[in-house]
Amino acid sequence: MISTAIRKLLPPLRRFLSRKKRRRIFASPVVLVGLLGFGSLLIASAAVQPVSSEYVVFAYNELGMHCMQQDFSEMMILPPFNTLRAQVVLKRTGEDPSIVTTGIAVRYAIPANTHSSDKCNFWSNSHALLGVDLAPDVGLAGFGMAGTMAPVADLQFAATGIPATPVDDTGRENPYPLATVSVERNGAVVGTTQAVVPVSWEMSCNLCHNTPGQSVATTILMAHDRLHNTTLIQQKPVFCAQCHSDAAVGAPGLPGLKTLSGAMHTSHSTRMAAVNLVNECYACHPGFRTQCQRDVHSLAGMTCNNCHTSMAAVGSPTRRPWIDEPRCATCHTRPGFEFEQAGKNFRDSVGHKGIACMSCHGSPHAITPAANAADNLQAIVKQGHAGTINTCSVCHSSTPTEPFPHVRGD
Amino acid sequence: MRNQLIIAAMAGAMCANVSEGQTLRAISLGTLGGQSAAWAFDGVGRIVCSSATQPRSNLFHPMLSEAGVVTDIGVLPGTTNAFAFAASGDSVFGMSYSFADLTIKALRWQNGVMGTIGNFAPRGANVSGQVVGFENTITGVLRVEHACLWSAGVLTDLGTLGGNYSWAYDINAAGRTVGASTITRDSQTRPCVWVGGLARDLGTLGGADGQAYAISDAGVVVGWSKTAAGEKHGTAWALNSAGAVVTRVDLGLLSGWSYAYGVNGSGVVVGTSNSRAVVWRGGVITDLNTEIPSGTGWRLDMASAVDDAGRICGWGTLFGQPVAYLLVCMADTTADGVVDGADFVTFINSFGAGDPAVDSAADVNGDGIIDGNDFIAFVNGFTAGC
Repeated sequence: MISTAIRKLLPPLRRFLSRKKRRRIFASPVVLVGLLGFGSLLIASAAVQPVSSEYVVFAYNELGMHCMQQDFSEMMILPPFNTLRAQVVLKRTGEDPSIVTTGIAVRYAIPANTHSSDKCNFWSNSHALLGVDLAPDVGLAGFGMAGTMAPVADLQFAATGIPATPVDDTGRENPYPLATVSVERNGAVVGTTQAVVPVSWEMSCNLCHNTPGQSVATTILMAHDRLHNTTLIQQKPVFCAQCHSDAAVGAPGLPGLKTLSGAMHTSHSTRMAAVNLVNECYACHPGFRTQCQRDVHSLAGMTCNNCHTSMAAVGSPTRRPWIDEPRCATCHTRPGFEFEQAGKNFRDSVGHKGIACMSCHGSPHAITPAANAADNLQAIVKQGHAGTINTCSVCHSSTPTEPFPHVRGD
Repeated sequence: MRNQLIIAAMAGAMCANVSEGQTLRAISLGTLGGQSAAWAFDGVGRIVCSSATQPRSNLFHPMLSEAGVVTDIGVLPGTTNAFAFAASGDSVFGMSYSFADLTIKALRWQNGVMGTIGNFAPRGANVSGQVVGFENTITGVLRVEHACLWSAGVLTDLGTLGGNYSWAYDINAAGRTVGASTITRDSQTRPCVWVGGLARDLGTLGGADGQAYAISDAGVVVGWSKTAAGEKHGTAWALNSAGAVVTRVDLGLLSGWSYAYGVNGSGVVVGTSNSRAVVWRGGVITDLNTEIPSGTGWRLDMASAVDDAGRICGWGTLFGQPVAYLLVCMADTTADGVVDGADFVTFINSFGAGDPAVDSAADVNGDGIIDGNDFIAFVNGFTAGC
């Protein structure tokens, strides 16, 4: 099974890596463990047969992982806020495929994870934190745990701010719950897919902020008060982005203060040596057990820093958080291939006649073939195997005669 | 010892801090290094929990807590995480899995011996050793979950209400199984009971969705369902011996929303409302945080189970640290659900030790100090009984 996995992985890696580097990668224990996971997706590949449907729906998460907290009673860094997007392609015999945005409804649900208000205390603190009284299980953008996606830019649909938690309704922790995304036309379901709604509250602040007899949040707020002459401990619950701007939640912050990303990465970058971690990013970003970086790059032995560089660089005041992100074209230089659109990241770029990059490649941090079997399901169902959806017949009723255009949408 | 008691009693008489109505005390069930949560009583004195291990590994393992001692059950080979929600006699049942994998293995820990009983996720068990839960399967092109029953070594798919998904949460002594299922086109999730091998809709409070989490041996089912206005309310269904719904009751809420998670043979129901652990006794909802002494550092978020002795388990925070708890009557220093002479002996011995870090049984009011206030609280609690 592992040898089969290697055979499937080799073609894409040959494009980018030398023979020597490939040997080193496949000899590493990390990759061997990843391949064991990859074996499970091959089992799935054998069990789930690809289907042909007139409406082909692709769904993906725009970040590949949303962090949130479990306890909002004292402090909020990130609320539950997961965004699922979709794109629908009409595939008809004798016609070129077209992206559909009208005359259909795109529904989403996370069948095994339908409610959140009993799993964290966000809703009982939303008024104190944000001045809003949210209905239970409804997120900050008005979307609930199931519903209808809204049409958005670039011929896509989106459910923005789904307030999912990493605990399914049975009580089991699952940071990779599967959403079902269905296309309805005239009341009938005409297309369906499944996509991961990745969410984790594994932020291991307690590695350092762990004063006995105090909550982690209290310890953090007291440290902030001590170092920055604030009185946050008297203002609980505190919303960090109320002062430190955070594009992730659309908070403008206060003028003259660092962005939340800048403040967090800068203040912690000099302190990480104390915890001596193999991957220091996982001290705050999920995480040791969640392993949110699970995509084809991780299978190739790459780490967070290979793309994002150092924590100090991420916190640099010249960097615009959530905008200045790693770009595919920095490493991928295949002749004839174009990558991100100008001024857009992978997550927002389209190409190949309007298809979102994520439709074929998967979510950031889960670019397929991924180490996580759930992230590969969509590709397996559509074309019979994990990896980039590169089988023309997924969308085309007949194989196009023209060369495959991996070109930007701009 | 006698002088110590008298002095303590005098001190307590001056500043007793247990108010009327505060009849319970919370006991930490411990952890394996990280946060913990309690889910079930096993019927022989142990409480079934799950706990994160040391912060650096940060994985979840099933944990048994008994008389202040925790046991790490561990995970099945080839998996990294496990959660346990059920027990029967000498066996604890849990779900063992890895996030990267779609397969879930059923873990059985029997008298300290770990093994698997198949590829499914146990969620409930009865005294006969029947286990219910869900299994991963494929419907068309969808990876879905189906309720299942494991009985005498045979795993049976329990089917759905017409949708692609179902989950079995609990099974009572008579073998009656409850849970939830989607209906056609997965447009709703409905609370259901399995009768004669078929799923049957329990009905809701007028809204679209609901789930049934627990069933008592008397046939009382609890969970939640939506009202016509779309609110989520704890709900109780009474079934007759044929599994038909006799009554469906809105349990009400503190504010916002409520979910009922556990029920005992006396019809006491526990759950959560607006992020506060609650109990329903005789249909009246009470915030459990008001039934423990104030100033103890506890915040009770969820009550997940109640046994026939009235003990309640769940999770909350103690001085901000998330941890599983057990609630017992104030004078139940042995934490066995009964107030009797053994509690008096335990209290006296612990009081004599005088150090709650060594023996906290006499710290009845939970303030971290063993003093006269505890004596007063114990005497009052002992008089009131349980």
